[in-house]
Amino acid sequence: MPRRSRSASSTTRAGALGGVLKALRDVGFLDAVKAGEYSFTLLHVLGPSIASLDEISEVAPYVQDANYFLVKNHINDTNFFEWDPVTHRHYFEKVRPSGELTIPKLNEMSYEQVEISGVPFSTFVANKTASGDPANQSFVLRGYVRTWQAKIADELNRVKLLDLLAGRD
Amino acid sequence: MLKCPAIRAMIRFKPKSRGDLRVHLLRAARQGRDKHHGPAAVRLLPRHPPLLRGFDADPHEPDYAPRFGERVANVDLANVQGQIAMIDRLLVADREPKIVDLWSRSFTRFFGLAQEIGFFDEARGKGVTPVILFHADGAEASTAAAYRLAATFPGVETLLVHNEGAAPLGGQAGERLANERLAAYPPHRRLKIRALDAACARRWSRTTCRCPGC
Repeated sequence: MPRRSRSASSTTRAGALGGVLKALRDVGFLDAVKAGEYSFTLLHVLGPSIASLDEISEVAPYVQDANYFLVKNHINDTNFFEWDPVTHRHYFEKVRPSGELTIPKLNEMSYEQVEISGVPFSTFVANKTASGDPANQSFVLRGYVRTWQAKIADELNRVKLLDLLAGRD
Repeated sequence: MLKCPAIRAMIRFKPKSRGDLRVHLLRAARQGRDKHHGPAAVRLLPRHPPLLRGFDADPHEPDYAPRFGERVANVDLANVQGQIAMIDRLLVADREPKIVDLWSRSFTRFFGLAQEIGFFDEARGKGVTPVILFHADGAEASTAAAYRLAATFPGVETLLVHNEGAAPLGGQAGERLANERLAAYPPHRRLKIRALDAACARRWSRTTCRCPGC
């Protein structure tokens, strides 16, 4: 996006990120980023699997001029091979990100209840239905989700992501 | 995270609309101490209004729940289902006071969870007033935990309980030493429970509690 216009965001499914970045390169978008015409911020959400970590090396050639953040999404109790320094270095030293974000694990019951309710996390915390009527969700589960959201907000504030997206860097 | 290996806290929740504070004290402070002081406290319970509802948070060696049948639920706070079963129920504004009996193993878990999910703030918002009855045993870990609790939840009413029978603080030196040890705790209001006469205690330990409403 041009630096002085509104921003736009896009979500890419797992395994397709390399192809999307290649397409952005081929249409000249990455050259425009390099020329300063656009700012490009990439949040690369990693899963705790080798296949996901392999994507880091695929992405590396395309993000040299981007604000590139590695997002460790803790969907379970694994820790991205931090217990094995050799393996950890093998994947995480292939690129120099602008920062790392950690999305903590949300307990399974809370997550599943949000899924069942079919509302955004914030609506669940507010104990509302999709139509805005009062719901009857467990305070314990809402509390867990609220705390989880607060931790994510702290992470975003820590790397000043919103300032970056708003062009206040 | 609060850590206290050898203390016990009993939290009593009362609806805001009730003006009087009634104390319902169930367990001794120290791990491994005589469990039979639990039923002694039952005799302190008034006959009117009806016996309170409660939660026994020790899933391994429950003592409170087995004595009070259907009115007290045994919950396991180590899993989310147990947390929901207890905490969501505590926040129901049904004008019925409730008791939570926390064993030392569940003490840290409960107060850590309460802090994480904002339990005490929610309780206030729903017109429920939590009251913590903190059983003193004189141990350094106990006093440290009491101060951490006071610092973490400064707006929560807390009573310091000295159960002479379950956790005598004075020993041979008596009242003076007990008061010195209690002075090491935060300056909460105090509640003292005298020790049962030995003969009564032995008789009590052989009987099964039958209380109104059980």
